[in-house]
Amino acid sequence: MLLKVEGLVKSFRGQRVLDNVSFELKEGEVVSIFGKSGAGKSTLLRCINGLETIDEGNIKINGEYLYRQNENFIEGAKGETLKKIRQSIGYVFQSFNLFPNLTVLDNIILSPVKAYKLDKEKAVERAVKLLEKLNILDKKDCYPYELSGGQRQRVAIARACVLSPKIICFDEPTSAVDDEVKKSIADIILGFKKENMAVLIVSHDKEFSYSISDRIIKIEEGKIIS
Amino acid sequence: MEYIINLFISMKSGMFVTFYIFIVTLIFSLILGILVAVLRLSKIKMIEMAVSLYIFIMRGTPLLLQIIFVFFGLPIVGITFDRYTAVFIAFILNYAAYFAEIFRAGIQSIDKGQFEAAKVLGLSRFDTYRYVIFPQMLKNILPALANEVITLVKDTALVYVVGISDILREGKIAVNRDATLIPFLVVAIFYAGFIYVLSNLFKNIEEKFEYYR
Repeated sequence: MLLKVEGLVKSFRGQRVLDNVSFELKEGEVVSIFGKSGAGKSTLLRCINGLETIDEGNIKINGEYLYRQNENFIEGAKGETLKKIRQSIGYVFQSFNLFPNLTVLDNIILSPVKAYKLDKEKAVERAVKLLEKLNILDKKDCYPYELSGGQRQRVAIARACVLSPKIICFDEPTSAVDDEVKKSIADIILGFKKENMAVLIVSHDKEFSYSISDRIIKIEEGKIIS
Repeated sequence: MEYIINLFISMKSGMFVTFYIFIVTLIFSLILGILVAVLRLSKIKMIEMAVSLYIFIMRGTPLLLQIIFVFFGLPIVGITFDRYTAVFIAFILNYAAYFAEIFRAGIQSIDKGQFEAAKVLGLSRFDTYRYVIFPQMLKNILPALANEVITLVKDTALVYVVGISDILREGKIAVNRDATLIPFLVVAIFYAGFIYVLSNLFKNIEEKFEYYR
């Protein structure tokens, strides 16, 4: 099991936005978390990526606890364990959050070189392969502002994949994109599935979610309803 | 004309003093300012409060008073500094507070998503600031930073209060000696020239940062 979420509870100012959420994700599985705006989908994804602390429950990623429920408190992963977890999960933000001051190539190699001390040449080699696969190698020296929305998204995907994660998360991958881009995102996701990666998608796009996923998790007011 | 050229030559030590105070203050207050800005954004309440108090005191009282306090006030409690050390302490502490507020505003102007992206990519806090936040922040704050640096050039004239012979003091001596206001004109040309060079320098830096949007 690559991802295991158990009894996850998260509140903001006393209001529960995630209420006893539990689910699992296996290798080669594409799962969509589907629900209306404000249902708690993005918060769930943020918790899984360690961007939010949790109030109760456990989150286990690739065999390591990101958050672990102890008797009275939640223990969060630290140091090398956290680094290992971060290496095994990639996150493609809804607004991509590319670094505008860095070129496409530098956006992709920054983390492997600086955070994971990978040899720069090897990092560039990996980045080039990914960009080639995503059909944007010709943009490697461009800055994010020079790219279209679809190209930026592909750079964000390359950045999230450069460390060969086992899980990749997408937050609303089809918001504000045309049908052609939507199709290319679907192809990319299916490509990940073929490589035995697990894909977790948060979306309110019913058609897309149903067409691409092995499993749909419906969420309403912070609770999984099916 | 010859008189003006001679004045420039005779006031060169004052020019050097002004430049020396400017450059030392600038270097150290920028470094301290970055540290103070990062501490000001600390989630630890005590640190944030202590840093806010320091900034309030520095910005809430005149620099002239701070120089007087360090040079004439501290010896009362047994802490003595020579003129230059006292001036540098007052200037650096004062300007670091102003720079810190500019840096803080610059850091806070960066989209939260940039910090989050760096976090999920496993970047350390230092690398996040070094490669992502500071370059973007610098682009945003350059106009405000340029204003403050220009003010610093003019504020160096305050060192007269501890008897340091900067360009303005030397100009004043020449005015009294020669019974003419021309030395003040020379002083004005020096300041304006210095600020012209700095303004152009900042303009060039701003242009360098135009490589991205």
